[in-house]
Parts: sequence; C-alpha cells; structure tokens
Amino acid sequence: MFKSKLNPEVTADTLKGRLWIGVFMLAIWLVFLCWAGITFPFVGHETTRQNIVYGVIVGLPFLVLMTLYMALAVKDLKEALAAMKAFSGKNRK
Amino acid sequence: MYIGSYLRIESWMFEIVLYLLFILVFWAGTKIIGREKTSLFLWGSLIWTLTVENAMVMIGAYDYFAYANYYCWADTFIPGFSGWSCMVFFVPLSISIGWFIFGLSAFIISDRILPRGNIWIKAVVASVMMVSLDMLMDPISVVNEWWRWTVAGFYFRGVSVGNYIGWFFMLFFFAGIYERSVIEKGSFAWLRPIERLIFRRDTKDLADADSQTLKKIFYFRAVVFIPVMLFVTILASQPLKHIGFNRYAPFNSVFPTTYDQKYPASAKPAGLAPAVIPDGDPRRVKGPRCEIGKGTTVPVHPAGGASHVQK
Repeated sequence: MFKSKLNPEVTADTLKGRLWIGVFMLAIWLVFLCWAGITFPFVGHETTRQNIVYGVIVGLPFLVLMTLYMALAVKDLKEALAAMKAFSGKNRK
Repeated sequence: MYIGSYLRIESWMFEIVLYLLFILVFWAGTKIIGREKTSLFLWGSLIWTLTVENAMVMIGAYDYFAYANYYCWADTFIPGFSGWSCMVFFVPLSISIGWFIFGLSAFIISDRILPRGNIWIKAVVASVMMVSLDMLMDPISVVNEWWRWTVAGFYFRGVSVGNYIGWFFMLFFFAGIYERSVIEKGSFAWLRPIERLIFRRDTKDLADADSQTLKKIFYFRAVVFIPVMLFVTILASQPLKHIGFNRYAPFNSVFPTTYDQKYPASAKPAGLAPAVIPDGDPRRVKGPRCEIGKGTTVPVHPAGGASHVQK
C-alpha cells in the first residue's frame, strides 16, 4: 500500500480524502471553464468559444497531472479496500 | 448582475464558490494530513499571501477596488462597498482562502505523484499545476473586474505575465518551506544561525520540537522567505522587459507609485493601448454598476469584456 511522508498512518479514510481532493480540483476547473464559456470574451478574444479553447489549452498541464493523480488515488483505494477485505475474511475464518 | 449576451460573474459568486470549496478542501486536508498540519498550512498561507498581496497592491501592481463606489445589489447602489465580503487591509480574505485551496490541493497531489521526489521538484510540479489553473481563472477575473491591473507590463489575455511567474514562485517556496519544516521537520542551513539566536535551540532537527515551537519556526521561515521569493520573482521577470511591454496598465493605481512616475500615460508610445480608458469610450462606465444592467452605457456586445477592460 502507498505510504506518504505527509501522513505515515494511511487508512481507507485518508485515501478517500485523497480521492475527494482530486474531485474538488476537477470540479473547480470545470466551474472556471463553464464561467469562461458564459462570461464575456477574454481580452483579445472575439467569442466565448475561444475562451473555452484557451481554457483547455492552458489547462493541459493541470489535466495531465490530475489524470495521473486520480488514477493513482483510485488504485491506492482499491488496493486498500482489497487488503481490508482479505484481512476481515481471514479473521472470520 | 448584467445578463445580456454574456453573463457578468460578480465577485460574490466567486466568493461563494471559494468559501464552499474551502470547507470541502479543509475537510479533505484533515483526513489526509491531519487537522494540525492542515491548520498550519492554512495559517501559513494566510500570512504568506496577505503580506505579499497587500505589498503588491501598495506598490501599485494591481488592486481590488474595481467595484468600489459603484457596486449594486438587487439594483440598489451600495456606496463605498468594494464587492468583497471581507477585506484584510487592501486584499479580500477570499483571495487568500483561494490560494490556500489551490496550494494545499496542488501540494498533496504533487506528493502523491512523486512520493519519493526531492521537495523542490515536488514544489515545481505543484506550482506548474497551480499556474495552469490560474491561467484560466485570471482572464475571467479581468473581464469581470474582480481585480484590475495597474502596472505597465507584458500582458497576455489581459493578464500581466509577471503574475504567473509570481504565482509559480509563491507556491514553489511555500511548498518547499512547509515540507522541509512541518513534514520533514528539518531546517535550512543558512537560516540556522539566526534561528538559534531567536528560538534558543538548534533547529537542524525539529523531530523533538513541540507543536508550538514548530508553528513558530514555520511562521518565522514563511516570513523570512517572502523577500527571497519576491527577489527571485523579480529576477525571473526580467526577460519580459527585454521582450518589451506590450501594454500600459488599464487603470491608474490608487497609490502614488514608482510605476506611475516611470510610465505616465503621457509617455505612452504610439500604437500601445492607453493607460486609462478615455472619456467618451463606450466601455467606460460612469456611475453605479446597476446602470450597466439597465443597459445605459454598455454596448450591446461589450467588445473585449466588461466595461472597464480594454481589448
């Protein structure tokens, strides 16, 4: 299971928190992208469609890192849940 | 709120989103790194950003007064209200809260992506992520007048490029200080002699330090690193001067600044955008913002954004 320097005591709760923080960041990015689509054209733009294209282009590093992070967070959580399930199964036997 | 062809996103909408997200990110932060470390990140980022932002406003780089004296709520003019729910001197509290939200999230994300990486490499990843997000947020803020630029510089989509360099180094240094002090409980060699005098202990290893001492040392380092961060940001912004300024500030600063003396509107080279929007320009709004909603002075299709923003 993944262990971090930030918090050596990794629990399923910690991993769920990690997943949630990724969800919140993606949500705020989507809110900004929606705002870019409905508000005034940015300085130098003629339409709000240009705003959206601009938002996606400048957001590429963010999106790449977020995708990587979310994949890792989901993998960690799955592993932790599987380990917990196996552990509780052993205890029952 | 002006709803025509385009929606004007008011500062209160931005604030609601930030405060809501603050509760959620703080909650997630306490789950991941614990309440104490999350609180330290919060207070550290408040000290860090409020100091830097207030200094920037005072030297005339930008300000948050675009709404002052013409803010309207439900078509009623609110005299003197800046449009922000809480100001700490010249800076809205929500701006610092926003920095905490993005900073903590980027810090946690970079730690997961590079769990065994060097702290400064992790700080670079976190900063790149934050700048990428800010490059979408800042142009929205400019056309909606949440804040306004008052300095000549190299602008991209209405935002000073120096702003992005500043954002990068703000998180880069803060993440580095936080991880070294609070997570690794280590020190910076060049600061140790000064810290020994102030805290009366060797700060090389803080593993045995109680939480109060750790807090004090972390806040002290945050404050000491502010001039370092500003110096590096100014140094990194120098190439922009060689590229050349492509725009004079859309607004005059409310503070008497060196920028105004150095780049007065009268010294504007031909072909550059004006330092202020001239009288008679349809994008220049006189009077309260509720007049905008009634369609008195705003063109049907506000070219280039909101009333005060140049194309």
